[in-house]
Amino acid sequence: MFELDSLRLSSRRQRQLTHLMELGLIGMLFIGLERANGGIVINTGVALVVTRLPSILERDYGIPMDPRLTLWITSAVFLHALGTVGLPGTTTTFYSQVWWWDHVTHALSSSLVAGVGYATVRALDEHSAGIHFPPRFVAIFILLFVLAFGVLWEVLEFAIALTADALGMNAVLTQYGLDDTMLDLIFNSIGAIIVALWGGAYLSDVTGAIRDRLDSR
Amino acid sequence: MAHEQCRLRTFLYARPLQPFVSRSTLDTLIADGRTNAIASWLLVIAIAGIGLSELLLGEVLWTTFAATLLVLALLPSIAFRSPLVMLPWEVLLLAALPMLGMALDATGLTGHFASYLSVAAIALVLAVELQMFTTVRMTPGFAVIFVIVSTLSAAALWALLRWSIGGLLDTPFTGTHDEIMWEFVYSAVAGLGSGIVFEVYFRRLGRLDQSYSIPSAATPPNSRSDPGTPSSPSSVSGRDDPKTASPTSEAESEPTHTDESDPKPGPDSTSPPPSEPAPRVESDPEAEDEDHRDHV
Repeated sequence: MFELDSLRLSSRRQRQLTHLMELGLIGMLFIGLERANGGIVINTGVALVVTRLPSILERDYGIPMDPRLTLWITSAVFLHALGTVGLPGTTTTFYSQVWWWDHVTHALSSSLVAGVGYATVRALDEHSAGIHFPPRFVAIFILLFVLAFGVLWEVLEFAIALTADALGMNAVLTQYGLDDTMLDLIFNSIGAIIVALWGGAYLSDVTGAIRDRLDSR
Repeated sequence: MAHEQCRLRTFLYARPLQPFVSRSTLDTLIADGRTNAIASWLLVIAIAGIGLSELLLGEVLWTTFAATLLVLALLPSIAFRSPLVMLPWEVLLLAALPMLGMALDATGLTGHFASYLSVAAIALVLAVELQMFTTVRMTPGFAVIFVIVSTLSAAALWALLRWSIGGLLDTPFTGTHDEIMWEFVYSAVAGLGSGIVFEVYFRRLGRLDQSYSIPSAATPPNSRSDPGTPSSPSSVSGRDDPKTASPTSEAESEPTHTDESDPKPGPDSTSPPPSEPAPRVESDPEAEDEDHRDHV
């Protein structure tokens, strides 16, 4: 996402990296099946579904998916799924062993959410004559949007935890306590701020495509 | 375009509607903007009174809340230099609910749900005032999204604030994880619920707009011609932007929502032609919109 020349990957490398991660996800799915670990299976399964999204968006909805965007999306779900699996052969997960794993995945995922929100808001601005948002409003709104999404996500995790408790199962997603939840929200905000500051340049194509879709409705 | 924006502004001046109930039955109760202004001013006085007592009691939080609410409530009338231009009293009441509940010692009104209903109402007020005082322009549909997002993010920010202050001052944060989660749940329910209510409210505004903009229709069953209203005889519909008001309306005239004072569209350049499809848009946002503007 950052345009640091030394870290810059060519489109081909980006696509290769994406494919590698998708293969990794399939591998993790099998690990989960082998371990009979429902949590891993569900998390990797959902991750694989999400990796299909860019091609669906491109083919069915005409929203162009830059290889960088696809890499962005795939990395987010890959790291999340990897966090639930850990190293093969171990019983611990990256989420519980590596203190910063949760924070990185939250920042990455919420940067995606922020990207979606940003592109949609900008597209609405361009499409609708009754909508006009100055840049500062967009930035603040993206931050609020990601916070709101974070709250909904935490509520979802809470609901899953309560259901799991009631049914006597292990929760698919876990909450680690108040401090962790608060830090989740903070790292969500960091992801949002990154997108608010730098995301515009990368999302203009997506914005245009969403606007075109709105225009043609 | 102007029509949809003006729907948010209409919210401010005229108070022809009671939400949830059809206009004709409650017409007599809330007749016009003047009645609304009276109700709103009474609320403002109540909020000021409660705020003052909170200040004297040293309750910083409640005083700040009251002060913020007062500023938001008084902004419109100050800006337009007219005591008649006030927020709808229902919205003001909703926003002041927790404060009133505390003053009246009604425990049901001081819970999380009531607090977040208040936040949702304040968010709506913010949306309207952003529309009025800044270059931000929203359609009512987006205003609803804005309300939902604001309410949920307010819960997040409030929790973060208390948590970080607790950490900085080394005082224990008094909430447990479960308590914060339930607060989040209430904020979600209040936010989404308010969003739905406001959306329904705006649709009703749209339907009534539509019915009253048809000039050949008979005058509304309970005609609200208010002889006391200083509005000019030509239609000063709620769609008018007071800053660019038609030449015949006075600056302090209170724009009424309907065209009832002018059944003929003829000479008045401000009322939209009856064939304009725009009034139908808001009443059914999902309907196919030919000019696909303001479709949100």
